[in-house]
Amino acid sequence: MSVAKWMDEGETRVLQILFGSLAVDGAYYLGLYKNSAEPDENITVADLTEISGYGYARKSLARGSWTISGNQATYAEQTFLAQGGDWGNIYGYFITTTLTGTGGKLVAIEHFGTPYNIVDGKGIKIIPKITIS
Amino acid sequence: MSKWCDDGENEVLNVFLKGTTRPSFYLGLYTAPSSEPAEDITLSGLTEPSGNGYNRIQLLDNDWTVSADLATHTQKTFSCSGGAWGNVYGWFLCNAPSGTSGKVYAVGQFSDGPYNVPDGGAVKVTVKITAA
Repeated sequence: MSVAKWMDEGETRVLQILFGSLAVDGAYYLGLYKNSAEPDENITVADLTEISGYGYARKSLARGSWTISGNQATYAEQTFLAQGGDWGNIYGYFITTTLTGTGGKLVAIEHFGTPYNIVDGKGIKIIPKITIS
Repeated sequence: MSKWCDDGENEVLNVFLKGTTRPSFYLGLYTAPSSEPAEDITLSGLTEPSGNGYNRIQLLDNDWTVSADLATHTQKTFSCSGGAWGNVYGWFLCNAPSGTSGKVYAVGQFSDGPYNVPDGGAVKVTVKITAA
């Protein structure tokens, strides 16, 4: 895995929070998607095909729990575990502003170089990383 | 065109992801270096106009407009009085109203500069910065 890229909605949110027109978010949420092609920066959460069922839920990334060094932020490893059925191919992860649904802002994504086929009882471990330059 | 400096990138991540207190922002001018400062520039690496009415200007929250990945601040005017400032090569954004102990968040080298500012002259700056 590499680092996530900022999405358009994430870039806007960064500036809004930094320059004071928007309060800082309490948490961000980590999810997995099944879109095989790398998403463009201008997509929204609604454009992503997210995993459904079999124990899947977005993970909360708590404010303040990121480790920041220079221009890179890293969050502790998060494990998603399939239970009761297969998830199939996972092509990447995303970071959004809401725990569920498609109403949140899409902050960043990382598209994997190769997909991970997740079957019942198996999992995927993600270390969210994001840079700014 | 402006660019983020190392301290600015770090500050963005700290505010956005860790919720650290947002800094105050101050706009200044530099007369050196004459070439675009590197991203690791610090305040002590910049030479500002000295005296003759020069002071950094605070940029207030309500004067920013954010559209897509671009933040734009209302135009600010630095007025020179009592003596010349000489060649001004660009502007910088930092977190201190004066001195060299603060952090440089961004710099903007004037693409059509430098501006040779005489007594009675002025420099008008519209700060624009992107997140990408």
